[in-house]
Amino acid sequence: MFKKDEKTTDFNEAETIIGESVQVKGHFENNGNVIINGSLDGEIKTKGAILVGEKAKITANVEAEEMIVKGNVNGNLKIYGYLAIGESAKIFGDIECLQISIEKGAEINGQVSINNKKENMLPRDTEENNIIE
Amino acid sequence: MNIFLYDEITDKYKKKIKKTEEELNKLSLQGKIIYLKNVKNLKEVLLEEINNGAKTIISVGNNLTINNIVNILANISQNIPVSLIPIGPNNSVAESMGIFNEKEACFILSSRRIENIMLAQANNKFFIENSYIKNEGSRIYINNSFKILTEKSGNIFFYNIPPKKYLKKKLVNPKDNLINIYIKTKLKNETHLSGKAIEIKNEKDKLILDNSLQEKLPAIIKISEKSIPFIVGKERSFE
Repeated sequence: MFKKDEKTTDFNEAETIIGESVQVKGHFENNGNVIINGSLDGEIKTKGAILVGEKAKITANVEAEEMIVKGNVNGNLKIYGYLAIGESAKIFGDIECLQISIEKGAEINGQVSINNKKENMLPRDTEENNIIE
Repeated sequence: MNIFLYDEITDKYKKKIKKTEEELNKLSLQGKIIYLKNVKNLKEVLLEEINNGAKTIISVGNNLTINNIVNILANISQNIPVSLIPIGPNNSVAESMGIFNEKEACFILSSRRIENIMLAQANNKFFIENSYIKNEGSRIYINNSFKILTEKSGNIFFYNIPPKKYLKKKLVNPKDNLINIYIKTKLKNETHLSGKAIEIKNEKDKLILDNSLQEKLPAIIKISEKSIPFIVGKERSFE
């Protein structure tokens, strides 16, 4: 999906995997790499990378070091490094990142801003909007 | 002195027990045998043996045997090494300690490689390896910040000691004080994540601890502050 010279995270050793049949709701915070093939509703933050699979549905603001999007994301993305958007991706939200690649066929509905320095990107305020029934 | 606690299940495996006893004799690992079917109060028996200078407690049986013993040892102050001799089916706890059969167990007991294993707990009951519940109707709340749900039939496992295949992939660290959650369904893709405190709700089902004991729901699972020194196989790495 991406050019060979575009080095992305190796997800073979992802610490967290959300499978196809699984729904996650709430404030999801993590230190490692995350693969999402199911659905996530709320907010997700990680110090690692996120891979959103083709069948995944995310309704959440996202903050991560790196991200690959192949599925649906409804929320704002703040990526402190490289963001790769695949041909099957549908993103409804604003994007802020350091580097980006977008494949033909991808849908983006929102503003895209590319920073040239990581230092210019301030973390979002932690919102205590946790769910849980 | 070695204290061998023989579960009632050993009655069905007399030949295996005889061979095991011969192997123990060869290794000069004799000790006192206590038949659990004759014991009314295991806690009293264990305390008496420990006070009389027991050096090692050896669980001869299956997951239920070791789980019962551990739930007593976790509530007493003395910290005495525990070993396992697996007899019959349902011995995943022994396997998680790197002990796969009774013959191997004798050599492992002889080599006395001790690892301090933190116990996990579900409400007030302790478990060693894992607990699980059916997916249907289960709501899992993790670290009081998010919940997970799944519609497909299968099981949700909560591991204190994750299976070796996950350790090989370095996906989990058994000493990180986290419970590792694995959701298994008929779909090929897997789910795994971890948490410090996990609340489980299910009105129709019960939680199964170490494939042997039941615990009512709702339950909170976490790594406890109790640890037991287990004698483990040389192949078993907890790093």
